[in-house]
Amino acid sequence: MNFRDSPEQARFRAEAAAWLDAALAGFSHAATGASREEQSIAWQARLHRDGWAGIAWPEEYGGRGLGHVHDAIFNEEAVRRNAPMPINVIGMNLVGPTIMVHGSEAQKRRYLPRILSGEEIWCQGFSEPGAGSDLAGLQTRAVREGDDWRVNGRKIWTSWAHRAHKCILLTRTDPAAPKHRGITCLLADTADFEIRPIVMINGDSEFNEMRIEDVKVPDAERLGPVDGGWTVATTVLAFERSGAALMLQVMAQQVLDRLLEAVRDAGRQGDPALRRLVGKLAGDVESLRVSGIRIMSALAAGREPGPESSTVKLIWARAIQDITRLALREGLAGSLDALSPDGAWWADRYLRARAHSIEGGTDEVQKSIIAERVLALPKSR
Amino acid sequence: MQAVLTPEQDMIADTLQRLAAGGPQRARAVLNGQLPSAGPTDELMAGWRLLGLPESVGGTGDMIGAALLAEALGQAIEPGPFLAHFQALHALAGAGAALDAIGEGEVATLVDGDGIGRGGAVDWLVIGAEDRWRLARPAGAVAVQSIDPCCPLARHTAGETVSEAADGGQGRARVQVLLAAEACGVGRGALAIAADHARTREQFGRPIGAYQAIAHRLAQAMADLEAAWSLVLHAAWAVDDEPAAAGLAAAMAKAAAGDAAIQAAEACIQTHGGMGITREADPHLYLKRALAIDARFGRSAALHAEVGAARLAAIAA
Repeated sequence: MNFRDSPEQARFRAEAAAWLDAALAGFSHAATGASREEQSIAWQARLHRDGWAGIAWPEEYGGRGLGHVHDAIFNEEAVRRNAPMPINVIGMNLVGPTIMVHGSEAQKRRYLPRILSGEEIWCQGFSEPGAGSDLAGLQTRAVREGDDWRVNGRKIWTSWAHRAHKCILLTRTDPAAPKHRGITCLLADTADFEIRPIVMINGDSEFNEMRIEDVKVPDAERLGPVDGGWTVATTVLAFERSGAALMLQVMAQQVLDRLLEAVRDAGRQGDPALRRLVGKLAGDVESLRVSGIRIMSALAAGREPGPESSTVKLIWARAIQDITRLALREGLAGSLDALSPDGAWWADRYLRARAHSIEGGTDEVQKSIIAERVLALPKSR
Repeated sequence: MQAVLTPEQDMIADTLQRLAAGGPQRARAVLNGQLPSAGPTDELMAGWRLLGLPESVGGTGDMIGAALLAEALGQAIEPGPFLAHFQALHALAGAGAALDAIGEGEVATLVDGDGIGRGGAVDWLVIGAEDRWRLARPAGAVAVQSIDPCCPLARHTAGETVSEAADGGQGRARVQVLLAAEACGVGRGALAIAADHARTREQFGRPIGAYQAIAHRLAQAMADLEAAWSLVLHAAWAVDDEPAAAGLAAAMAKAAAGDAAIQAAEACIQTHGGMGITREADPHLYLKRALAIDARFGRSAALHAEVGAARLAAIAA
């Protein structure tokens, strides 16, 4: 077991760091809302131009042909520098890898290079107003008409939908079958979707609701077999859970660093209760870093992603919620009824963090996964 | 980065889990004032005492292997004296002291600044106080009551000091890694019997583990235990490969492991319902062991504060 970069990994990290420092010189960290999205589009183009998009993808599809650990190293260095999120994060982390597993050769050649270049931005049409944690209960209907599928339904919590060209869409194709066996995955154009942004409790609108009415998707753009879409969905979810491990920890590290600075700026380093709370949270965040490295190493050693990513997700959500709550409630962010710029930052992070235990699988879903797969307890539903 | 167990480390874990089997029965025998069956102590003394010690003193130099040993014995709540002996050797070797004085077959035990350490027959005391480790002959002991009745403690009086070494932090880090790993094992053992019970005990016509109120408590405990185990592995690695970081890493690991083990053992008692609060069932053995480990060489609450102070000092500049 080794937690240190190999000499080759260290060289790669240094190369990534040098490129990031130069490339980020022109990017402002303070961007919000629409200008942040413009930054994300520009960042995607920059990554692609200099060969940093698709680090772990095969070269024949436009990638760099390196391993998961390299990908994780680059992401770690990027997030550490507050680099913008590339606009096609869903395409690169979820859709592309899933197409590599389940797609035809024609689909791979058609879609993969355009994901990396950002020519086609992707969103993920999974959750519905009536199908959240119970994803397999989805009802968006696709009916075969000749060479096409006619799709009707609603999707919700769709990140980046307002910027996306394509959507990896789960549809119900056999309403009579058991719910996991009547689902088909389509790669749909979003041009004819009606997309409405949802304003979140912190004022951001990163999620959307999509209405899909009589939209036609050619059968050639079906991913995986008819009624075999649940397997595809499982692949997407596995990539979603494991791919984020190292990025999540850096996000937590950034918030922890801000907390340490806030304690210092308030002159309260000597407060014994704060020391103890900060120390506990520092341990949680460090565990995320170490667990992230362990998960990436296991993937790189050819092991399947397992339930350990549910553990990381639980600890991550709690750590950021605890850190942001502590800052607000200990008065480290100043007064809440006359917000300073710092106070506004903490309030924004605190409110955003409420979503961490809901998005990407709720705490309750993660605990059920651990209960069933690690503790071998009977299914609770 | 290649943070997966090596085949040798996997083998160490498997072998020791087999060796430690039957630990709860032996712990129960001690509790009942009976002489427990032989257990693995002789085999551990003969074949495993050098595991993870620095190569300079003839050890294997693999602290992760040593952590796996402590975890396996913790999981079986093994009541024998080997871990106290093992911790004593690691404390001395970490401080750079020679182990030559301790003959093969002689039993050392780790003693804190108040003279508290494992009771029973010992040949050597390794006393940790004020950042120094002292190797001394025992000169008497009075039994003291521990929260864990399966591991008898005593207040030792030291005789002649044979050698002494300033710690430099590495002895303490090794002891904390071993205690943290043992705590993780105790937590795992508690969750294993809790899950067994939740699978088989039926109420309202279903196994109670099918109720999320039961399942999710155990799942949360498992998540915290896994987080602590990551910190233990990293701290063990740091002892061998990044000594400057080992002190803080070990403090973090022991703090998290103490909390996680106690949480798991409390959850185990709650899962067992009425039987969980009796001496007739096993859950209390895990809780008492977890509390006893937490109390040794850095309580969780104190270590959290130590880590917090260190992190705040590091950004003060």
